[in-house]
Amino acid sequence: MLSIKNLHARVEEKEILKGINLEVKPGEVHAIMGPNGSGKSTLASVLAGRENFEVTGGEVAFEGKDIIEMAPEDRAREGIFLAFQYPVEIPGVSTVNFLKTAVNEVREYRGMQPMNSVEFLKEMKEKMQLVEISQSLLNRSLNEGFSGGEKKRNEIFQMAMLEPKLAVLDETDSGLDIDALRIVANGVNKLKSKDNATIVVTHYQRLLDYIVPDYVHVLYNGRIVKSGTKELALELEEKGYDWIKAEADII
Amino acid sequence: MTQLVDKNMVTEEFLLRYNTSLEEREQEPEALVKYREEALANFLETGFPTRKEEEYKYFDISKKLVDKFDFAREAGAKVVAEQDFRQFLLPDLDANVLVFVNGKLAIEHSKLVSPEEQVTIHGLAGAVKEDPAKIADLLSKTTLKEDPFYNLNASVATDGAYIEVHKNAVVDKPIMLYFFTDSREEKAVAYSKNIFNIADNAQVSVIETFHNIGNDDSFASASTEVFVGGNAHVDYYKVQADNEKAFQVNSTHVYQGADSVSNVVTVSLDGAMVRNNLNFVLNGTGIEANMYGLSLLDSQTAVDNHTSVDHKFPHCESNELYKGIYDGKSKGVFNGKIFVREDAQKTNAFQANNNILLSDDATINTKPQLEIWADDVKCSHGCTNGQIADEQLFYLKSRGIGAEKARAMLLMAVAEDVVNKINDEVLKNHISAIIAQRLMK
Repeated sequence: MLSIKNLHARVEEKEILKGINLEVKPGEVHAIMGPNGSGKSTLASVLAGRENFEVTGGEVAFEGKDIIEMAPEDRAREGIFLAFQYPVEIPGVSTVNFLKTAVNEVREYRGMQPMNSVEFLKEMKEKMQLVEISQSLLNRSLNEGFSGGEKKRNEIFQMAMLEPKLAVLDETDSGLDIDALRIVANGVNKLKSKDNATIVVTHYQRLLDYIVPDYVHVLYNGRIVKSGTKELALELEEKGYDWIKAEADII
Repeated sequence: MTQLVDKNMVTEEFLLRYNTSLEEREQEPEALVKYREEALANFLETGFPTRKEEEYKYFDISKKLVDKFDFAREAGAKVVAEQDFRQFLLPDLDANVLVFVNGKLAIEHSKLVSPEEQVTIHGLAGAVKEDPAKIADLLSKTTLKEDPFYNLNASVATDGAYIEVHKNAVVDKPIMLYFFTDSREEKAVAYSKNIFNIADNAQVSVIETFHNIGNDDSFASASTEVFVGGNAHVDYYKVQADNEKAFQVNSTHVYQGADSVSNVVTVSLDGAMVRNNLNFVLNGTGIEANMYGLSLLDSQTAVDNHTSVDHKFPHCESNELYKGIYDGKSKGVFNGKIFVREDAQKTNAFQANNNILLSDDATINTKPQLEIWADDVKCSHGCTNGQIADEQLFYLKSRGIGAEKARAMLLMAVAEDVVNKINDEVLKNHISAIIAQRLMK
């Protein structure tokens, strides 16, 4: 589904990703962990096509298509979804209106009929239950004045509505209390299928108790320096990152 | 007066023309003639305002007007057929309608639907004939007489709308004022003077638009005096979407009585140059004065909004929100003055001006000006100038929304902040639709 080969990227003059290799297949959950500043969020941003990151080398193929030159909206329409670490507040645009526009733009791209209001509302009601989000919140301006937990739930709600093939969750757990974390993780798990894949970018092992990864990768200094199964996450939790850094720095 | 000739673009022909016009008006009541003479003297004192004047520093309209128009003559009354202006009418609006052509009431196109017990609606010329003392008395209450264009207008305008809302009356339908300039045969210069006389506890909603019929240059000089009685409520909407040959100077002075509420919403979408002078004088306690503006401009259009609110008594509130979206080579000016006099304790005065520049050639000059003499007040002002936030744009795009649509959604949200202040649903939807169409193009 996703194939990243020797990816290099920089922001302004600073090289952040220095040769990432990653293969993600349908049905898999990959966790990307690593200390602060290792490039985790940069990787997530590059996949979604954030403009201020410049890819300087390597390949990123999504379902066989090279996406490096693809506009962010086309990546989304192809089925890539980024749950933002810091969801953006947009005054004056209601979540409902925004999502209806997004859903129908994606459907149009895929050659499907637009959803009418009745269908959309029905779909919305269903997906709202997944992340226990209220109608009143969705009628408000997008993320404006939302609590941290509400913003993250709104991200997962949007993901549920857009039904991506590949979801990239960028530190979706940071700042969440345990109840909010459970709700968010629960939503992600319910959306999981054999056809879609999830990349969970996180700093904390805690999330992985709820979203169980098939693979865990440790990103350090712009490279994946260690990969393993979920046991690796537990080891990191126990021992911290220093031993990984030490190992990586020797190499 | 010879020494004044040629001062700031006032010519000898001009003087001759206006002195003659005053003589022609000898049948007007003495007080009105005095009002005009005083206005003319004030105008001659200053001439047309140049960019040396602080108030016109960023808006060089005088030179353009003097170059283009012959101020020594006024456009005569024209006869227009409904088909000439049908395209400018607001659809589906059930309203009292007054149509003016080159500043003169066109009675054949006007219709009144609200009962006489609620409101008396006349052309100003008719109102002067009917009760000259009343009009003279109202004009004697005006205090804002500094602006040269106001004085020019006051010295010559003879017609316009006279709206008298009776005590305790709630006018059931809005009053729609269409001002047309007819430039089909020659350039048009049109003056109109409106007076809204709103009695205590009354409520009314007025909408005005200006349109140039024809493709030659037009200049509309409009001046409106709004007297808001105690506890009265007025909504006044100005829709400015004229063609690229149309110049307009629009002065509005709102004199409010105790506990009254006024909302003035100015939506500027098109035209050559528009200058709006909007001034509030709060002559009592417990007053609320709200002024909202949206400039959504493209090509060469230039719109200057100068506002002021004068807090003279305690416990009043003023809210001001002006937003601008500038594309092409358009130009915006905002100047907001807030005066809080020594006696005006417990004043709440808020002002915000937010601008988005969509092109490198568009410009905005913005200047808040607060002068506060009272010490127990809450006043704030804020001004932002910038581009569309990249983060917001990326967020929308990352959900599959195309770049153009995402941009339009963000700009629509900015515009709606002001458009939502329009209480008249028909007008609000109409304006929203125009804006959506413009932004999606």
